[in-house]
Amino acid sequence: MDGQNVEDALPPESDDALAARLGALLERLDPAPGLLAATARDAFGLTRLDADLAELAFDSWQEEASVALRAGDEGPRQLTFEGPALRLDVEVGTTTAGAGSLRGQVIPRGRGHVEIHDATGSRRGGTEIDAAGRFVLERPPTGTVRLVCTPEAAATPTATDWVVLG
Amino acid sequence: MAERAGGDLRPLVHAAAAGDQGSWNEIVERFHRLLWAICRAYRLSSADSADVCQVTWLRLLENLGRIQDPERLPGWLSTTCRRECQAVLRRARRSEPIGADDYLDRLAGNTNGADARAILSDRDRQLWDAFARLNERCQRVLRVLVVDAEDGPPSYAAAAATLGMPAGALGPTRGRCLSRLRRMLEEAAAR
Repeated sequence: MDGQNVEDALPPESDDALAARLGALLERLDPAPGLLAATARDAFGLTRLDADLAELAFDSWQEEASVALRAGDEGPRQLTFEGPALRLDVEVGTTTAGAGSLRGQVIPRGRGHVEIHDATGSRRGGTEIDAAGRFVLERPPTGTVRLVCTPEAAATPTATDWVVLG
Repeated sequence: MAERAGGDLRPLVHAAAAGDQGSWNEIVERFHRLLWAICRAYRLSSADSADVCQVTWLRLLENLGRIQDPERLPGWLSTTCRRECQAVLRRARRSEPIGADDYLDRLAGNTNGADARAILSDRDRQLWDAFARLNERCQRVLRVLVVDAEDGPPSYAAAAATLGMPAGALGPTRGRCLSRLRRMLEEAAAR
């Protein structure tokens, strides 16, 4: 086989063989970090809140809208969470400094308390909900967070789905 | 590509919902590579990919008891992950295609693309170069479809949910993309 690449003698790769080879290469170049799996496993043991869940019903940043950005398409991110006892609309405001604020509206309207928790379950801020069901949380943390609302009129707190802020 | 029997997902999900850590660990083990592949298929950075994977797992934890059909767990995870990827991309306001070198740099986690390529055999380097020359859609399709789980490739249902296409279209699309990849390899070898 002088000067001939030994691979010239091989039959063409089947789809499955090529896919397997590509998969192995990508696994080498870009493996899923073990730390991520460990963090996911550990999350199971974190204290569960005794709360209703308000699911993420709408996220303006998850729309399948066209990728082309129109001028003026810079509006704040809108989130809506819906749970058995309440609905929560949140506007994620940004400032030029980037810190921003969360402006919320709880339905049914009424006083209460709202907290923001990070992925470890730690409270990272909180404020009062006014009689109109509104609140403003200044400078929320970035990363994976959720809101926990406790209306005065409610027996159980409501925790929202987790979202990534940033 | 073999479809893994989804029949054993039901007891896993139920056990995890009932508080069994071992079952949860098994679910994580089965799907964490797929979630990573989805994020990277959408060209997210390592940091953003980690965020998206984390929020996807936390969402699943909160929803474990609510999942109507555990067989649909792969699709549920994939769809959740994909949507969070899209949210990240909206935040970053970045949609321009990345050059092949940038992608390699990102994948290898290196700042110097040349270092990453140096660790590859000739054959792997050719495969990588060919993959990088594919159009973005084929790269995304293949990135998701070739990821290997512990006990076999992930389901077509998961990939379909990720890619936003009907499961029936996946087979032909996979075939077309692999054919293109093979053609690029052959063209490179012929030079």
